[in-house]
Amino acid sequence: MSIEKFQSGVSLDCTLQVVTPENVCFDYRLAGPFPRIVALFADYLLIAAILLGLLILCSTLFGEASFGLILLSFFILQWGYAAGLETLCNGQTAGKKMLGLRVVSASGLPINAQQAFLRGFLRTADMIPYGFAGVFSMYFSRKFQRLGDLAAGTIVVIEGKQTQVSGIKDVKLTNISPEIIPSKFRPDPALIHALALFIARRPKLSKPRRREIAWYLARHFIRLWSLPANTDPDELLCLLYLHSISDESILSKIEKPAKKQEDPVMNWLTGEVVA
Amino acid sequence: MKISELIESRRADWKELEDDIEWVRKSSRRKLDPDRLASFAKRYRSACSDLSLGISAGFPQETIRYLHQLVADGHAMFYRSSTFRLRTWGKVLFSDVPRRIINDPCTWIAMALFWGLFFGSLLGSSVLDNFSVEVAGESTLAEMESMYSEPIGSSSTMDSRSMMTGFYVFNNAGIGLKCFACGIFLGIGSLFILAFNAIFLGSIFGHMLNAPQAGNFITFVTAHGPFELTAIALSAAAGLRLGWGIVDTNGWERGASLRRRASQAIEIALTATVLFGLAAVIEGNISPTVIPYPFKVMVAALSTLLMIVWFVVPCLVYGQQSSLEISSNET
Repeated sequence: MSIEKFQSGVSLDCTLQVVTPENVCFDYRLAGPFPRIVALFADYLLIAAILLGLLILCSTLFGEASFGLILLSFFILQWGYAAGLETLCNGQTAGKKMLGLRVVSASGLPINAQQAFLRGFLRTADMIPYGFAGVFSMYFSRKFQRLGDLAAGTIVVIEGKQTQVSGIKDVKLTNISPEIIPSKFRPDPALIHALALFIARRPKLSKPRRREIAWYLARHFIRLWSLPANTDPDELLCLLYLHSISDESILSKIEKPAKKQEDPVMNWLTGEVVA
Repeated sequence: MKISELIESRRADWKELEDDIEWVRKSSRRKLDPDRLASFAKRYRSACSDLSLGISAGFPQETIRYLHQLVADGHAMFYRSSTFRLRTWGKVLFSDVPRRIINDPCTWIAMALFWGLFFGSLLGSSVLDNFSVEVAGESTLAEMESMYSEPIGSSSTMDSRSMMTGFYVFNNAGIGLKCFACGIFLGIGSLFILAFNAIFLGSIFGHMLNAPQAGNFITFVTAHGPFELTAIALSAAAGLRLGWGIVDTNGWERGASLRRRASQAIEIALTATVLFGLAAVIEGNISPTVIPYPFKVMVAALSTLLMIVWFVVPCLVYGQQSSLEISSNET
């Protein structure tokens, strides 16, 4: 439990935890100022392109009167472009969509029109002077909120690009045989968690670095099971992970306490023995 | 069961939940098929428990990250609550908003400040010779005098009218919204812009009323004056309402107080924007024409009457406090 709390602390990972009514925590990855500034510029470019197109179209059609129309549409785009798109497209403008960003309420729910317009109007205040107010506010608020976000109660999150469930990564084990793990060995959840994190990070590391990191954990098992000193620590940890996720007893060990926590009285009434 | 087998067996369910989320996102509320909605709820909840199981059982990190995203998307769709009902909006528009604006001390502070400074500097520039020159600058005053040197309406065409209407919306309503936005700095930004506008406009009025072009000037500004001047004051009131929420939290946590006041402030800001729009239409199409002056006075009187009706009648009909009460705990 303490590991999970530590692992997903806001201050470390720029994630925001949302607790659902189902009593499950999920993480949002918060977007910092840099992708957001890029998205803003993309939106500005789009607005400029729309206005230019309108200018050409209208001036050929209506002549002088078109400038009124252009100014009116400039006004609408300036103040309503972001707010309108965020309302209609569930928190995304074109620029945000391009960079995989989305505006959501701080509670994790989709934003409504009022929030979209508030943060849209207050963008002006964030731009004073040259965007410093907004960046300062993002720096000092823990959820990267600019002033408009603070007033509207919204955050900007990074959309997960991953849409495929990947299975367990294939790890090729050449120099090590599965028999070295004692049959009675049962890894506890904290160990499995650490192993899973290592496996996830592993592809990004060079071979010597993998061995170096794996050594801190592997040396205990090497000593414990009296393995040869030249055992590859990296492969040993991979083997341990494969062992733990294919171990049938692990899931049952985890699932059971969760069920028994429910309600002792109900369990007693229904005749289940609470050990 | 092995973890790898469990993930394989759940995968189909997760894929279906993805489809369900997309389906809920795209369809309107009334068209949702209740059976599928029920199965969406079931799948969402089992994905929730898969996530917590996955964290404690040490699922591979990619799977956990995927589940985080899946649960986040599902949560956003499952608990979304944006309904648009015409009746609710009618009630908000014709009963709640005017009553909240009237009951808001910020409205009266902004009004008092605006009119006080406006008439103060109007009087100042009428009495003191140098006042308006010091405030507005020689060149601005000269420009104003030349603008109103010809009788109103002599050079206006249909095209220039529609162009000017667009310009007035863009310029005036834009300034109004900026004034509102600057209120986030504890309300000071709004008050500053309001004071600046009040003194500037007041000195221009004071100067022009004593200038030879006074007749033309009055003929031009009368018709759109009520809407525009009210809108300027209301924009600042909206900003003040926003910023004051940070200062006076009324027992709320500071951030929560700001959010609560912000939803009230944006109503005032939007009201001001509508008034700016109405003023721009009048300023573009009635003010610069040769329509007789009494008719322009009637337009001004009618717009004042309209605002009084919109603001005051709801207070008389539904009582002082609005149902969504915000100002009652003001004391």
